[in-house]
Amino acid sequence: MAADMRAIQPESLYKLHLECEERPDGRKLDAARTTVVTRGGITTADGSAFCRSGHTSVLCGIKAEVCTPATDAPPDRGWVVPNLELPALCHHRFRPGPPSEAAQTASAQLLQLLDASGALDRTQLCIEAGQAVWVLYCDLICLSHDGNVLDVALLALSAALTDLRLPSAEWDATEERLRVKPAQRTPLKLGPLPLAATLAVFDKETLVLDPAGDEEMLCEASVTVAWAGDSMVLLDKTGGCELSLEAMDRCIALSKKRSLELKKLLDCCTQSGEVEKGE
Amino acid sequence: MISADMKSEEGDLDEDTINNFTCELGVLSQCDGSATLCNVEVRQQRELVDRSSIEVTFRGPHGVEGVEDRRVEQLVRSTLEQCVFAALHPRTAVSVVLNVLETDDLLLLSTCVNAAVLALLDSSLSMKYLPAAVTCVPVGDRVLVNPLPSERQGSSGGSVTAVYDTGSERLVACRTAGQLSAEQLTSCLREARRAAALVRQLYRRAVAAKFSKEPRDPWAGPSRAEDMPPSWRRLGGQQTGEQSTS
Repeated sequence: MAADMRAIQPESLYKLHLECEERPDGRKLDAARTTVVTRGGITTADGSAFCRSGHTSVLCGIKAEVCTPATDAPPDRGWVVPNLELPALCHHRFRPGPPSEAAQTASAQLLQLLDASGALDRTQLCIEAGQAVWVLYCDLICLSHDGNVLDVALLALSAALTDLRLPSAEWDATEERLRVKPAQRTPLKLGPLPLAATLAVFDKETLVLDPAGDEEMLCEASVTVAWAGDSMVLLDKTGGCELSLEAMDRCIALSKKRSLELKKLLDCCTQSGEVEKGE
Repeated sequence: MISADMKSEEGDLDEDTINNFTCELGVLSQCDGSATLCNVEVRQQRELVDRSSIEVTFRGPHGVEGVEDRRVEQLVRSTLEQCVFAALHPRTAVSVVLNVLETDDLLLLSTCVNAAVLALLDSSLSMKYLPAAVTCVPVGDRVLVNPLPSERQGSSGGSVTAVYDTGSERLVACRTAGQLSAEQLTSCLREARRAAALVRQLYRRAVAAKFSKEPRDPWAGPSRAEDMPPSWRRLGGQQTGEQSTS
């Protein structure tokens, strides 16, 4: 009977679940899916990480390249180019072709999050002012989309940045060329990394943390809150049903708690080296 | 500029002091918005059988498209999808085009939303409610609403763009930029809720101004400088002084 209802009236079935304060996958309303972070999986990249939360998984690889800063840009700063791809293989609603609006907005959001959190001071990416700076191309690929891609992508990006090792590079002023030693590598000094938590809103008041794919399709609105340390670096409620300020306060509190869990996960991962698994 | 003490409930908001609002239907001071609702074929992939599909196209001031433009489009579109009676017009498209004339990065988003809503008002499309957007910046202990660049010296860089349903006073959409604390966010949202009511009064005045104009021969062109939309004056339609009214 549940299977029939799921096909014909998925919203009603889901609302029945919510009345019992449980979700179809057995989680409580404020419980997130099991999250796994693995760093360093791609040996050809300068930094990489793979992050999975439930069935949503995102792989991030960072390649560092050298380029000359643009004439209208500050001469002593490098730059970071995050790009999230939602290819056709991750979910049947994505078709092969140019990046969808969802992928483009997510890429823009990742860049805004890195900028707002101040996690990466771009002057670290400068080799020689005006001549050579590092550009970090952060390619994120969603391998499986089961809801809440942004949180997982941001965690993968943050983990990949901690895994990044830049080769040592020197500008030879007499010969006017760059000398790079790929074997000597140093990590970046990073500030508080941004970590996000997304909540889906049902019936204007009920909040569920870390929505899965079907919950994301059924929800009336979704709110993403990202934290870097104690500061909020993003609150994005894009359209959907109206929300009262009390519900917004609850979103903020739940997201803060979740970002602390993610921070603990990321710290353990950075210290222990490879795979970390957390709730 | 409007400022209000974050800690107290009273403020000195009134409609004459809300900042930098020049609005004339069809043309807003920092954005030019237009809406098209016409009987053209909707592209198959965009056609929805039970409602109208709403498309927003945003062209930034620099000409080159970027992923940041998609974020603006996403916010405007999701706001309009909620407030328009899309179910009344199945298998049609509402296409809103936003072109930026002058830009202020901080105020851009709220201006785009207001321009889109004014354009829909101008097009007489049925709406459930009127959303209004404002941008709030916390500076020290105060919250400034729609501040000019000179007025927001001393802010830590955080800002909140909030869109409120002016009828029920509930939050429709919200996006922050920069770093904020939870207390700053809450104060900004409260201040934005009060300021959104003033934006609604400006909408009312714009609509009243539209219908109070004398009908005139459409081929005669604007007879008085004041009748010309601000964008025409800026482009040098006639040599006339620029003024901005609020």
